[in-house]
Amino acid sequence: MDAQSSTTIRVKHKRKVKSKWNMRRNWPLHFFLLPAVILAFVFSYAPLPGIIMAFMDFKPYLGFSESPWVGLEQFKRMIEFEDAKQVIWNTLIISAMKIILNLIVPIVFAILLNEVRKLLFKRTIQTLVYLPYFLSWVILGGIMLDMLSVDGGIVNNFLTSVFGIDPIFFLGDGDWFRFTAVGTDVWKEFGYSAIVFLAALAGINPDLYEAATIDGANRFQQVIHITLPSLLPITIVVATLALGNVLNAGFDQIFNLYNPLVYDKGDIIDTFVYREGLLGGQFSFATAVGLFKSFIGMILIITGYKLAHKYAGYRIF
Amino acid sequence: MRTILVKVKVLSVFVLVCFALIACSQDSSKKSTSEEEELVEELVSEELPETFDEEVTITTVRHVGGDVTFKEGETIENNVHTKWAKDKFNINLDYLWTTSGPNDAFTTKIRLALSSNEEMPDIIALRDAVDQDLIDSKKFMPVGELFDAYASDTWKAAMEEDPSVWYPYMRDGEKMAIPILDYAYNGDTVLFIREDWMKNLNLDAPETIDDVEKIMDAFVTQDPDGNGKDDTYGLTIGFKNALNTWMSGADWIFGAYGTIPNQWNETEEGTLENGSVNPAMKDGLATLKSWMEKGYINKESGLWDETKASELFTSGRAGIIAGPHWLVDWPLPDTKTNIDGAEYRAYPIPTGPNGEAGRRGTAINNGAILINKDADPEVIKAFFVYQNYLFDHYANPEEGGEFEHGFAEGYDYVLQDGEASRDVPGGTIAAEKYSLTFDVARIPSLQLETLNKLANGGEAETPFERKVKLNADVNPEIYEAAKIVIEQKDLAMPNMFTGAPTETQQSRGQSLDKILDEGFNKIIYGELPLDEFDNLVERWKSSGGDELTKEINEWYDSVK
Repeated sequence: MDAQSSTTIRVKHKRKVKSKWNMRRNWPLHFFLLPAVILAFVFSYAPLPGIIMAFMDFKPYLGFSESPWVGLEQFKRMIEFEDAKQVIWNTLIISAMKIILNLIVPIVFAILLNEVRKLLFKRTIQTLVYLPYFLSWVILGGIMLDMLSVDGGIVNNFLTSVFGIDPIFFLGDGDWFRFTAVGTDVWKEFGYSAIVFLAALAGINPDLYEAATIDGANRFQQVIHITLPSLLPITIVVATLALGNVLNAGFDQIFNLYNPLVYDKGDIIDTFVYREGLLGGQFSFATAVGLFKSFIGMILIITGYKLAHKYAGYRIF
Repeated sequence: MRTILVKVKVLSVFVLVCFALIACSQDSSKKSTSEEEELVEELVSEELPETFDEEVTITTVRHVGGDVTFKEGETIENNVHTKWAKDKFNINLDYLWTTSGPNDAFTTKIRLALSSNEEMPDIIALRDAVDQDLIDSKKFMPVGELFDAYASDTWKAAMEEDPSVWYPYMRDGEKMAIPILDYAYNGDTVLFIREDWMKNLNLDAPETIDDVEKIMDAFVTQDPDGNGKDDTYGLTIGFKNALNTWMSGADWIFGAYGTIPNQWNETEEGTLENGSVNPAMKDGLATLKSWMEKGYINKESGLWDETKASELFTSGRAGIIAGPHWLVDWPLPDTKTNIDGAEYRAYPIPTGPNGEAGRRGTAINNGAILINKDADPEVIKAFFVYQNYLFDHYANPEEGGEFEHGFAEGYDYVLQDGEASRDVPGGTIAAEKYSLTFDVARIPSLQLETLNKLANGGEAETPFERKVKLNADVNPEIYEAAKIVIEQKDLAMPNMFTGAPTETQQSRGQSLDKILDEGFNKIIYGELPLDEFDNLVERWKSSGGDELTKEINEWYDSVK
């Protein structure tokens, strides 16, 4: 690139910036943006160079400059673990179930709640269901242990007295453990996730429903032909963003609920890395796994974005 | 295309700046080893003064945990103890930084300080696994010769009670940190059994595992609490974390067959072996499995951690719990609160079919003290003057001495008409926590031996014995428990590996543990047949266990 053309770029760029940002008129808005930009920079961008750790055998007492470089050794180690396949598989199953159910349940709930006419009832229900969202898994872990106990836990007491089945070992039986993890997660999250959909529902033009009523559509048909299509854009946004988390099956939750009995079905990437990487102070290994996860997450988000654009004609960003 | 180029430029500048920032925070100023040796030689030829004419400042850092409380207006930097050190020896205790909240905060801060090559304080006393990183950073000096030259006889005698306390801090035959001593046998297991249930059902004290089984059977089937419901268990254990653990553990069950799991035991040949792969494990697992089948232990035991498991005992639903003697202070008193007329008593751990018995043992080192290799000679002397004084006068205080009644008047005791009392206005404050080494100075054997003496009818004669008695009288069951711990002290099997994690431990340690933990729990729950044990051991060995055993033994040979 010669000097002349680089000047052109700069000039062009400058002019473009000026017209787009219009600082003189919009400075208060940019000022409001500043804290968010600073936070994002400090906490999301400034630590990025730390990623080099993933390619080193980082030792805190050697620091960045003296820790040896090991190339892709950490990634190789991750793949070579005999448990790696099992752990990745567990993560995918648990998080896929969570992503699907955490999409369907809040939508159905939001639609049902939207049909409620009594405002007080509606508000009460809404508050009650999003209450669990604010409890941490450390607390819920203890509560779940008692509630799901085979020895007098209320869930098993209920199942035994109503359906007459034997108590289910929810947290100690590998197959049940996955369902328990997904079920409790959905219970905790759906009230909060529903808020987004309720907001979207409130934004649907009432004229559409009126027109449908005149055309003779019943409630159910209105939901199918008006509500659901109107919710589609926001559903796509939520689903695409959720895809980025497909390798996060919920460390807090699994860590507080699992035990050696369910390692084979419930051990996920994050708990594995916690035991393997952080307990042993192996920052490089933990970073490598983190990077791997982010990379897969990025690919999935991009794919989701492209698909959404192609098939639903919707752009998120 | 052009805009992309600009972006790439901006990005690369940004990355360069970030790298530069990292690089700038590193500098290198290292003393050569010979200089270091000279310093030590010079130092040990000098005598320790009693006080310092010129003020000496010891810089240090520490974690101020939740157990450290202050009077209003006092802080860790400025309190009764820092004033005492200043008045007594003309020593300033200067905290460069402190952390509070969870212990991780300290670990993180130290690691950051290490990786950014920050200057280290003169003295670091810490109870944190990061001590191994600190030693490997080569920023701290060997302490063996210094300790030999400077430490007082009391301190040395305390240290000699168990020479293996030095093992974790050995590097190429050099002692790189001074261990902080704690009371011995503090985590050794005894059994606690509900005495009122034993009386209700007319049961005799157990001597063997079979006796324990009979007692458990009675506890489960004969309704020991007389509430007419089939809701009691024989024993409460929690093995979510490990079979051998600090409370509600199963170490004694395996000990009866000759091994302690989850730790490294010494074999007859003098080598170290992972207790979890000893063939005796199989018998222990078979026993636990049968207890699970018969309902002697709760079906949820595998999901419980230590504290959760203890709740089965304290809520009055289990008759036996294993743990250290101090369980009578916590959490067992809850049992009496929850159940009217509940009583419990300590029992010796039972023997197995071959008359064998074993329990987990306790390491008496609880933390380490590191000395900066760039520390001023006066500072090093000052530290020893300070710590020697506390070992000589506080660890086992003399009659009429400065620490006769406690650490600081108006904090952990008050004097009323010449009598020491715990009725401090506003509540007692554990001022001893302000000391550089967390608990001032402890002589390992003293605590339990004193309890044992008192339990055998001895009089409390020294100030220390009176203090122990005062505390023990709150929950007098502790006397018998302590007595049993001392009587059975030959059964204690401490973890013999105390070094820094070996290479295989770092790279494969957790997966190796996982193979065994998962397998053992499944055997106990009957999800895997008992004979699967042999396969698990094979898998453990071939996945790196053999390598690990070799490394551990190399370490052991290098320190013993």
